[in-house]
Amino acid sequence: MASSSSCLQGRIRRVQWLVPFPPGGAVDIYSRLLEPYFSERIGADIVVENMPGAGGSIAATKLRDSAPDGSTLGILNAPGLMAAALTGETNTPNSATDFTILGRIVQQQLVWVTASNSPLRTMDDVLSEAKKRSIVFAVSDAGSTNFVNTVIVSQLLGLDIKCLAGFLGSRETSMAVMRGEADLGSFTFESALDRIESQDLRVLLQVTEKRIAAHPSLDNAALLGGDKGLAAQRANELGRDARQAQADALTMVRFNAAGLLIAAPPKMNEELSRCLDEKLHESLTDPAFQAAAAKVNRSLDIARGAEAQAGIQGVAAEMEKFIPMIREAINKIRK
Amino acid sequence: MVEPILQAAWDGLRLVFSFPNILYPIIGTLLAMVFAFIPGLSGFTLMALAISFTLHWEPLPIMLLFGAFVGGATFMGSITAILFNIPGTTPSAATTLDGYPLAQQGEAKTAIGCSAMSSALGSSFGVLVLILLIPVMRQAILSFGSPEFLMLSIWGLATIAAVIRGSLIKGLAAAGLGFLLSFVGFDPRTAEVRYTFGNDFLREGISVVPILLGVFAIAEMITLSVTGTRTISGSAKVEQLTGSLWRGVQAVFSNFGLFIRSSIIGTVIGMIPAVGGTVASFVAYGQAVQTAKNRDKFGRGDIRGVIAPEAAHDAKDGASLVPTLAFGIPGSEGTALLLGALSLHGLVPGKELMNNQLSLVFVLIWSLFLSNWLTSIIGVALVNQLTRLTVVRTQLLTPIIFALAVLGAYAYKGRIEDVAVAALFGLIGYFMKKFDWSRVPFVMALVLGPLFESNLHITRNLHQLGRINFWTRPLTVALMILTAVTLLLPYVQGIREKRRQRQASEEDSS
Repeated sequence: MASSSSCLQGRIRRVQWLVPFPPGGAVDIYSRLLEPYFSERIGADIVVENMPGAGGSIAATKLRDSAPDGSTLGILNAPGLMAAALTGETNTPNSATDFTILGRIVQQQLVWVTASNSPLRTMDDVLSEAKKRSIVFAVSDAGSTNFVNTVIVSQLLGLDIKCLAGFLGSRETSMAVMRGEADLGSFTFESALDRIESQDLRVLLQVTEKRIAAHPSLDNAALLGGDKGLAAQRANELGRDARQAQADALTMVRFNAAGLLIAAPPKMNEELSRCLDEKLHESLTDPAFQAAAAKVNRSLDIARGAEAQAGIQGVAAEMEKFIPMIREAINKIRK
Repeated sequence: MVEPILQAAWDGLRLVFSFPNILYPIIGTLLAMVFAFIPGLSGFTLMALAISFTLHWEPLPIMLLFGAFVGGATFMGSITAILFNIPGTTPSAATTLDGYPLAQQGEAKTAIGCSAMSSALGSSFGVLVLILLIPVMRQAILSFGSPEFLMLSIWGLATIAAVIRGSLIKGLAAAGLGFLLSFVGFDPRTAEVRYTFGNDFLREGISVVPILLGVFAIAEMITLSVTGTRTISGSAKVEQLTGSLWRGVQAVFSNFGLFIRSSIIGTVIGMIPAVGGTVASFVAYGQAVQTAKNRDKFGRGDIRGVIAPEAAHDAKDGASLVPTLAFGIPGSEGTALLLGALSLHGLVPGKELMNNQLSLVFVLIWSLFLSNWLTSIIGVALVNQLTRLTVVRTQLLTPIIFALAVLGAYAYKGRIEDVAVAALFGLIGYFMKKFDWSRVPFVMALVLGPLFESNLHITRNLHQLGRINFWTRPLTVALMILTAVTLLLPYVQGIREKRRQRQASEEDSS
């Protein structure tokens, strides 16, 4: 309940918390886990409102256009918004410039997976197979994060791919991989973990510089980034600039790592945003919250607002060099 | 393999029916019934609210409660569909087609009795299939791919021809309009925005719920007002109503073949992720019309037009848990929220849950089963009170129902634009009715359009890439044959009818 030291100082008793995905999904779960801890600290009730649609941009647009008085906050899928912008979607808010970022809750770490019964058991198998035919990749749609990842990382690895697009969500996309309709799919490690552990899917590639987790499923999975990563190796094999490949791989890692952000509308009063940033950080680092997240297998990669905002701004600028490649891939799908 | 399943089933049953556990499905059912009765609210809304309230609960009460939510909402939406032509849940829209005309003829009790029995038995069918599929549910789900989804949508679209009343051209045009509207918003493949005219609201597409509320509920209220109809049933007194609860219940058994076919349709479609009960209800209705010997009364108060969608609609409940439990893929909006509730408690669907916590899974199944029967029993117990509403003067009833429909449109997603959509389609629905344009093909095409479009592109790509061969996929071939039969059946029936009439006239003249 409201206290004299709370950020909103009793002016606002009810905060609308916008979630860009349907209730019950991963993003929604983070919001509901965080709500009691953050609500107590800011002295206002938080009402979670799900506004799915348009890849998260409907909720993001509403958040951007709301009054910056603390009455509306929300959670953003930064890579999703950046992907939409990269693919030419002009109505999508810019996650780097259109919000007051209060903090980051989790980074996303992508993996490439195949069906467990696929003959493609390692990235070497994939590269070898790619010499004979195009590798078929399942993606949801041509504006999605996994499409952008697929296109750019494939180009880094010199892979000729065909995108199989039109699946409703990541679970349906993974079903296409499990059924053998597609060779590969790209998902966040966390979202695919249950299917990996049930041995429906096998991880072939980690779109990271370091191993994602001490999990046995990653024992034989290649790493994309780093000086010994697959991007650098492939650059050497193909006679390309290995350092540039490494830099591009790092850009992709940072793109995904922009993660889920807690945000407020732009031009928020500095004192208010500082206070909310502080309270959010306290909530996220509260041992009780962290225990609750661990209980439901939700990982956390916490960062303060300034750090998270600097991260997005940097990577958004770097990603612009991939725009021609992405637009060309989209045009192929649209033909 | 069978013994552990039977043991888990028994353990689950004991847990559900013990005290105080039994209170959860009872309370959950009552709450779901209230929410489903109010247009625009639904079991989905209740579950979304409940996720927050139950954050710190143990897994067992979560399963008990959410199982009841999934099962409890289904039947009550049919009550408003029958009494007021307002689908309380979107799948109930198919029940309005013959349920409401029955109420207009003073036969609301018959329709409600039929709906209650069909729902309870249909849900039992779905639960039975779910239990039987437990050992093979993963293989069952993996056997359905984009080609099967495509053929299912084509088959559903093919049944449109069977449900067109009156002019074929008008019916097909209505279907075309529904199809066109289904394309508004994001292209599922290319993410291009289509037919939004720069309007943010339309980027997500036009929601089905406000359209249904408009085309059925609001259109009907306008019709009642314009025609000056005194009461919905045409009777001024309850004593003048001719309906019979028992006659409605009996109708399910005397049309048992139809019930079984519809339950199978609901079960199969329920297992397809993200398709939902609306498709199941309308496809079942379409096949009911198509396979009927005498189809003249459909759309005018044919009890078979209540049996089919109700059986399909409820059978889907149990079946929609198959992809949910096997792979964590929701078979409907309700199961999407169920997944969320499970995730919040560290329960991950898939092999882990099915192998190590099967008794908890059975708690969910039995709770769903119990709540389906509870809603039917309670609905039947209230039938006298409910049917009284059909003798209330429409001057009193129409404004209330109109307000509920508007409230329902707004409550769906909290957007005023949805109210505008409902109002617009209310007018469109009124004129469609007035000028004899069938609304059923419009709704069927609207609902089936997205399923058809996305799977058409994926299937085409798969074929071009050489990843599939239609002729080696038995389910695809079976659905192709079914579609061909569906398209040819009207001609065969027409030829038989002409032959019969010729023979009859020859006999008369001799």
